[in-house]
Amino acid sequence: MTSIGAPGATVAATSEQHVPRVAVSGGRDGGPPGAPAPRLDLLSVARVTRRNFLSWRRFYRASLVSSLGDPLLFLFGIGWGLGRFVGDIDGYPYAQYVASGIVASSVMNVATFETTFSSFARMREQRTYEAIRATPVSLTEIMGGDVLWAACKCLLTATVMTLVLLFAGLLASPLAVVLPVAGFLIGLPFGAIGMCVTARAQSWDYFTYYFTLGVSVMFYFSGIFFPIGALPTALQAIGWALPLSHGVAITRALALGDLHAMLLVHAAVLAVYFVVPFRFAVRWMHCRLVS
Amino acid sequence: MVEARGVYKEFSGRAVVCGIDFAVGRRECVGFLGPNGAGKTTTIRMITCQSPLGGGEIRVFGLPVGAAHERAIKARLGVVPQDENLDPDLGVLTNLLVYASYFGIPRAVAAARAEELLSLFALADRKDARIDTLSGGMKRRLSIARGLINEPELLVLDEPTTGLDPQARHLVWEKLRELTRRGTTVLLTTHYMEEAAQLCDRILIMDGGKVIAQGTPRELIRRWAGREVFEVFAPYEEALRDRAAGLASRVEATQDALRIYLDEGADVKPLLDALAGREFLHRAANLEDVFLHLTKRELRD
Repeated sequence: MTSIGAPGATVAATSEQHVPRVAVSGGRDGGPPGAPAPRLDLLSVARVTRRNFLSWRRFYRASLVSSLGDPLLFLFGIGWGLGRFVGDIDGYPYAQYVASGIVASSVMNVATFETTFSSFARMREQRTYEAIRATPVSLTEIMGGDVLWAACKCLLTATVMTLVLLFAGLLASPLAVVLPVAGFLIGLPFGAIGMCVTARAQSWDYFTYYFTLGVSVMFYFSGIFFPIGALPTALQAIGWALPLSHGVAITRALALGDLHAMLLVHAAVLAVYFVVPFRFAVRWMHCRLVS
Repeated sequence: MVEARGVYKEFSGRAVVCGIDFAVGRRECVGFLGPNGAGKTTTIRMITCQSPLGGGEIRVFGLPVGAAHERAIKARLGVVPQDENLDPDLGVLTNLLVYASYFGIPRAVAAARAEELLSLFALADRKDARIDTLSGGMKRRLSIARGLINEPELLVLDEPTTGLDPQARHLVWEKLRELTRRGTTVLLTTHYMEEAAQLCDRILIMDGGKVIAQGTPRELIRRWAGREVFEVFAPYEEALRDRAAGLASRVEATQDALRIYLDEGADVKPLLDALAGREFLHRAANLEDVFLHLTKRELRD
């Protein structure tokens, strides 16, 4: 994920297009030509993330149970239960194979929930976005703070998952120590995509479409339970177009100790899935809230 | 602090602010008074850089509103929104501390200011309370305290007492007067005449996206309503109306009452004679008279 530094510049470019839709009379009002548009201030982003952390701290137990419960049930139910009938895949016991992918899907779920339901609540029901927009923190920075916070939660989830897998004997490589960091980075694109959905959502029902047509499809067709290569050729292309496939490829490589050059491609695809959706999310959210 | 010229704004082709001019000076308390839909909130949102300027010019602290100076302007503003948007996920004190962090205020400074503001707004004993346990008046006071956390040069309040009961309203007025005494510049909107009269040094009366009159409460009353008013409740005869019209500066006949306005220097005696033996209300002219007079005139135009 070498391109993680890039979004700052990209986002600043986006806000240049949106914030000053100000029709001011007389050239002098907009300041001298080429006056700096507000740049993305990373400190402001961090402050929004901290706000989310402080809010989360009050309810973290419930939050942890819900974000870890599901993946662990899948892991032990499918991995161990079904695994006894399946045998090995790519030379790894089935439980290990599934576990290495579940790390990525649980990260996807955590990031997605955070930037859909939670962000939507903050944006609409609680009007927290509106409150923060009255301060020097910009809308883009608020959204960035939410996505960063989603990634932080992914870091936590991936850490706990890694420990569970360690004690369950499902990790095959010391490279697994990097899984939490990978979880953080994989969380970013899913946070950004969730933010797009939120920017478009007119009601809570809207998220059902994304969860059914996006999240669930990714969960089943991103190579967690069987290799994407086992799909019919036409579907393979679709499988590889899904961001989760690339997340699974990365967590699997780390959990099972199978480093290869393709990982750079997977990371690059995820970087694109972060930058492009985030830009769209910023644009749509400005259209929605700034009037 | 604020200078505005030809401010304009439309939403989907419908003009809501139609070219208004105004200014707010240092240490002044200025109020936008007008009915709902007059364009007050829209104007406020353009001043506070929350809504893009539709046309014209607004300078806040000498800086034109717009992307280039948005951050600098917001850093020196305090904003208290019409609908409370306190952070329900955080406690009372944490609300102030987290809000302070958005301004980059160091934590120790923020903590000291927060304590001070909570005691100023009589919330010190609720500092650990959840937001949803606060009464409407407490929430409003906390919103104002939050708006002051960055020691703003200009505090902007959108209908600061709408929806509050009389006790809570008076407490908010008391606090706002204390602020203006301390030298905070205040810009507020309201549709309560009494609020405008109580708090504001200068009032801009808005209706239909225009400023239809402005001045100090006294000036407005003297200019548009006169000195005193006699109200004779219905039923009253046309003859009385005609007679009063000859003796008064202005007469307004509505279905429920006949209002007779007297300007400064007018003689009361003949009118009192004309009203002898009747029940009537004699009172000083107030902003409501001004407002009704002006908005009614607008309707006729």
